[in-house]
Order: sequence, then structure tokens, then C-alpha cells
Amino acid sequence: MKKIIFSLLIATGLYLPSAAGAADFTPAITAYAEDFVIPTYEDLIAKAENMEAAAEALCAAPDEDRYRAATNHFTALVGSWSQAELIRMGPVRSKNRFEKLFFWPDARSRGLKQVQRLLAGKSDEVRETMNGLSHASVAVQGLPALEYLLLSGDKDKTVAFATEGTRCIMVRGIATNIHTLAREVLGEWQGGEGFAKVLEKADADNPLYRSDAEVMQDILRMPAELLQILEESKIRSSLGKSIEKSRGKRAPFWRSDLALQNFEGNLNTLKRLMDILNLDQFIADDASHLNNSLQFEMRQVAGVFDRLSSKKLSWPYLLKDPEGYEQLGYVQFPLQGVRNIISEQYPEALGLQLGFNSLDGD
Amino acid sequence: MVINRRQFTAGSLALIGMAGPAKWAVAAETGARFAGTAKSGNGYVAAVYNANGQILREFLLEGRGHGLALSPDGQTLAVFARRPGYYIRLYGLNDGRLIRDIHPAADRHFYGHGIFAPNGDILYATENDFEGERGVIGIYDAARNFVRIGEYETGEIGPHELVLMQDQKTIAVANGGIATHPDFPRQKLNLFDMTPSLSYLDRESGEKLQEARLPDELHQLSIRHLAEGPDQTIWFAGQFQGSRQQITDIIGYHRRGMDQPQMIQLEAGLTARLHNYGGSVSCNLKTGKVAVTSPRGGVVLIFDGRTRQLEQVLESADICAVSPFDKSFIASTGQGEILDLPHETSSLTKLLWDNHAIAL
Repeated sequence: MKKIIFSLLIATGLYLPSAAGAADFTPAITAYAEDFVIPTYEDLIAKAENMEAAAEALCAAPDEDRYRAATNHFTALVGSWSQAELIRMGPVRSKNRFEKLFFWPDARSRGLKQVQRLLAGKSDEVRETMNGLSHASVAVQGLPALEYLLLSGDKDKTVAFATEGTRCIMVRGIATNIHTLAREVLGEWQGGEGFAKVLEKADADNPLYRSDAEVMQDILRMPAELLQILEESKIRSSLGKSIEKSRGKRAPFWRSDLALQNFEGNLNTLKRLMDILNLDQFIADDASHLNNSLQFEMRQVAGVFDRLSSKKLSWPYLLKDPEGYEQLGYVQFPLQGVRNIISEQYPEALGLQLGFNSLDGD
Repeated sequence: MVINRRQFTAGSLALIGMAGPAKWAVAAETGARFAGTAKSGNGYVAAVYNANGQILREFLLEGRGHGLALSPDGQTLAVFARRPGYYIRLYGLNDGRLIRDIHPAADRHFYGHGIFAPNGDILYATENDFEGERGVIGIYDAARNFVRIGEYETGEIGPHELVLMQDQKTIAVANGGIATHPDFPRQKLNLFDMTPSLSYLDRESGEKLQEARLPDELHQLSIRHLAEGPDQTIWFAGQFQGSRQQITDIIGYHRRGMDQPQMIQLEAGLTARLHNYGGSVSCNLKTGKVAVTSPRGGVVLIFDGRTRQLEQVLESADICAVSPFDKSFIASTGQGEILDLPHETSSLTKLLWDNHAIAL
């Protein structure tokens, strides 16, 4: 027992950084913003712009080629989002933008029902909703809604797009909305007042981050969070209690059969982020095995995804395939390994005081 | 406001703190005792400790624990699993006997907090009806081996902490407002249209006596933890679910009859320091002091519950659990410290203390 050193902070206005003593993480934070976040959002904007143009073309004169082009651009857009999905801080967290872009999970199909209701509605009303989309329900604004509109309905999609006026109004409106949101997010990262500057100027006067150690904590929290979602919500939830009771519709992008691509995109982005952060530069030699361990675990995960991908089975059939089901069960272990390294081992080695009360609270 | 910046060095009492934490009742058990949940190595426990930081008892848990409750006769310690929770473990406080594990009903899971009725005959636990997206309080009959005999609706989804008020008739519930589903563990499904509330229920009938909601601009402030302060006032701490860039008041109070909760406005730098996140609330009814912790900010704030003035801000990394002790509070941290605030001492234990603790 010892006497507490009490800091009565009110009168002094002295708010000490909680992770004082950790390394100077400035190079990693700068690289994170400039080499990871900005290019990731630039890519999302580019893919969203292509999607918007493809939606316009399809709706101007629906035919098979234009429909195929639109779905191809949707695939590319999902691929890009699967990268941007890792960025879970800053402007994308303002104004419900994250949920607007990616309303998932839709546990009780509430979002789906809203999309279906709009699709069956009157053109004028749907157009009005699409024109004021930023104030509409988040469930009808983003990728899952767009996926449904591109892939549901008449088997002959050119018929669906030619005859259902509301479908085109919605596809165009949502594609434009995704493009707008992506541009807004990138815009708020950049510039003199941008979020990148907030991260780079962490000090006692910064209301969000008092030290670059706090910034690093927040950066590392994101992959930990995405890994938990990938493992538990996307994969384990789809596996259900048995192969007979697997539930492919629990995964995102099952309808477009891009679920596995989404998982691979998440993993690839995680690898890219960790390469850019290059955390071992801040760790003394004796702990340098961490990156080796991380790379090993990530290779295990990638190997499983490759094997699953090579089966060329659509997502629901992959879950019904004994080997596919078994591999998806197995992959949770290396995913847990990756998460453990990022959420516990690296913070400890880096001297980040990630207490478990503050890390993932309740 | 008195500036009280004092610095103490470790004295001869340090030796007491070095006595190793005992598995079972090695240390004398006189004086105030407390119980909290904690991480122990790779496992989780509930533990009884004293203000000197001596661990008097440890009770194994099957997963991470959260809140605790003691039966009025002082015999039964209920430990509630962290959300989404799948157990309430009941231990004999003094003999260490595992009395029973309560598991949730189908389509329900626990939210992490519960209370006993004044005569101990009923245990109440906050629960999630995740298919119906309703918040409920499960009712368990102590006389019949804690069989579930019913439930009350809390009025809003995501009920978290609840307290039995001093009148012994009213249950106050913090309804966090966040929809979750066990298929998507710990994902928040409705941040865009959540509507947290503070509700008051008649303990015996379940009738909703009042439900108070925050103003629209605070609809993303999830009300999680509460305590009854002086004058039947409920103090609460929220966790803001909106943008981190939006620095928000998170501490408030409400008394039945008021239309809306009143938020406490702190000096801007201190508000920012809380990181939009309150971890635990406690009231010392002897002195009327109210404590709110923010583990993300690493601070505990102590208010005069009557004047609602902030009196102290104390700093300790990952501080969260707090319970009344002597003229003030005892607190603990995720890094293992027990902080005796009235006597200004701290002890380092081998356990990493979780969110909540109670005075026994």
C-alpha cells in the first residue's frame, strides 16, 4: 500500500496524457493518414463514380451489356468498400455516414423491408425520397440497398430496369449518394482543419487526442474491431449451430455472392495497414517477433480464404460444403490470433496503456 | 474550491500491501469489505477485498463478469455476466458455496446488472429480448431456487444498470437504447435512431411510473449507469455513440416529476477529458457525494450530490469501478490498483479490476 499521488486537476487545468512515456508515433500516424486513409478513400470515390456512371447508363437504355457493366462496377465498389470498412474513426463516423454507406447487419430485415416498400411505391414519392436522401432512413442509402436493387426482381434484369421506374430512380439516387458520402468523408480528412491534422497534432490543447499514443490506441482499435466483426458477426454467425443450420444470409453481400471477397478485402486491408504502420520500428529488438507472428497468422487466414475461393462455390453452397464449413470454422482461430496480437500484444509492447475497462467498455 | 495537491510517499504501511492476495480468507475480515469483478491471468473472477487492497476471497467465473449484487441478509453474492451475458452466478459470500448458475431464457440474454428485492425474495436482472427488440427485467424467485417467474418491460431497448431506490418501492433503470443481437456480438444496430431513456418502475407491479428521455440532440447518449443520490435524485453517466469529434456532456441527473434529465456542464477541457464515456456511478449516502468514473479519460469526478457542484477530479489510468466508503469512495483500476480515496492510499493487486464493484 502506498499513499496516492492525488492530482486535483480542476483548478490547475492540467490534464496529463494517460500514455506518457510511450514512443513518438508521429511517423506512423502521418503514414496512416497519408498512405492509408487518403488513398483508400480516393479509391472508394473512383469506384463510386464509376458505379454512378454505370447506373446512369443502365437506366438510360437498359440492356444486358449495361446491366453487366453495372454489376461489375458494383463488385469493384464492394471491393473498395471492403478496404475502407477498416477505417472506423473520424468523418465517416459523423452524421451516421458509416451506417449510410453500409447498413449492416440488418438483423430483423428492417432495412430490406424499407427498400422493398420504396421500390413498390409511387415514382414521385420515391424521387422525392431520393432527392432528400441525406434525411431518409440510413437503411435505404448505401451498398446493401444498391445490392438488392441490382440483383432482385425479374430474372431478366433488363426487363426489371426497363419496366420498374422506381428501381432506376433508386439505383441512380443511391449510387450518387455513395459517391457524395465518399467525397464528403475524404474532404473532411484533408485540408488545414482536416481530421488528418487532428491526428497529427495530438497535445493537451487537442480536445480529441492528448498524445500521439492515444491516436495510436485509436488506430489499433479499428483493426481489432473489424477482426471481431469478421470472426464473430460475418463468419461465426453464418456458420450457425451446424452445417445443416448454416445461415449464409447472415453475411454481408451474400446476395451478390461477394461475401468471401468482402472477407478477403478486410484481411488485405489489415495487412496493408500494418505494413504502413510498421509498428516494429517502435519496439526494441526483443519484441520484434511480433510482426513475424502477425504475418504468420495472417498467412493462415489468407490460405483458408484462398482455398475457399478456389472451390468456386457460391456463398450458401460453400457453407453447405463439408470442407468449406470446416475451413470457415477453423479460420476463426488464426483470426483470433491476429486480433490478440493487435489488441493486446502490440499495445503492450508499444507501451500503450490500453486498460481493458477503457478499451471495449460497457 | 480548495486546491488540494498533496504528494505522499510510500511509508511503513507499504509492507501491508505486500502481503500476497489470498485465495480464501487468510486475511482478517474486519472492517469494510467490497466485491468486484476482475480479470485474473487468463480467467475471470469476482473477488472480495478490503480498503487496504487485500483480496479476501475469489470466486471463479465462467466468463467476464460485470455487475454484482448482495442479498439483504448478506449471504448471497450474485455476479452478472458481461453483456451479452449468459450467466448469473450465485455464490455463498461467506462459505464460498456455488449456489446456482442462472442461465437466460430462450431469446433473452443478460445485460450485466441486477438487484435483490428488499427482503431478498426476488432477484431482478436486466435482459435483452433480442428478437422482440424490447428491454426487460427478468424476475427470479429466490425461494424456488431462482426460477424465472416473469418479467417487466423497461420501456426501451438496452436496459443496463438498475437500482432499487431508497423508498424500496421504485426501480430506476438506465435504458441504453442500443439494439444488439447475439448473432452479431457487440455490434450496435441502431445508432442512427436510438432513443435512450431513464425509466421508473413500481417494483411490485412492474407498472411504469415515468420514463424520461434526453433532448433530441442527445439521442445518441446511451444512458448506462446510475445511482440514487440525495433527495431521490438519480445520477447517471452515459456513453455517447455519435462522432468522437462531438464532445458531449455525459453526466446528468433526474428526479421523478422532472420532464427531462438535466445535464451537468463541466469546464470544456474536463468534458473533453471524459472522452464521451462514463464507466460507473456511485453515491455515498452518508455524505451525499456522487462519484462518476471515466476509464477512457482515467479520471474520477466527485460531486456534492445536493449542490451538484464538482468537488474533486482525481486521475488514475483505467479507473472504473467505484463504490461508497467512509466519507468518500473506494475505486479500482484495470491495471490492478485499489484506491482508498478517503485515506488517500492505493494498493496494487494481482487482479485487473473490471467495470463495477459494490460495498458489502
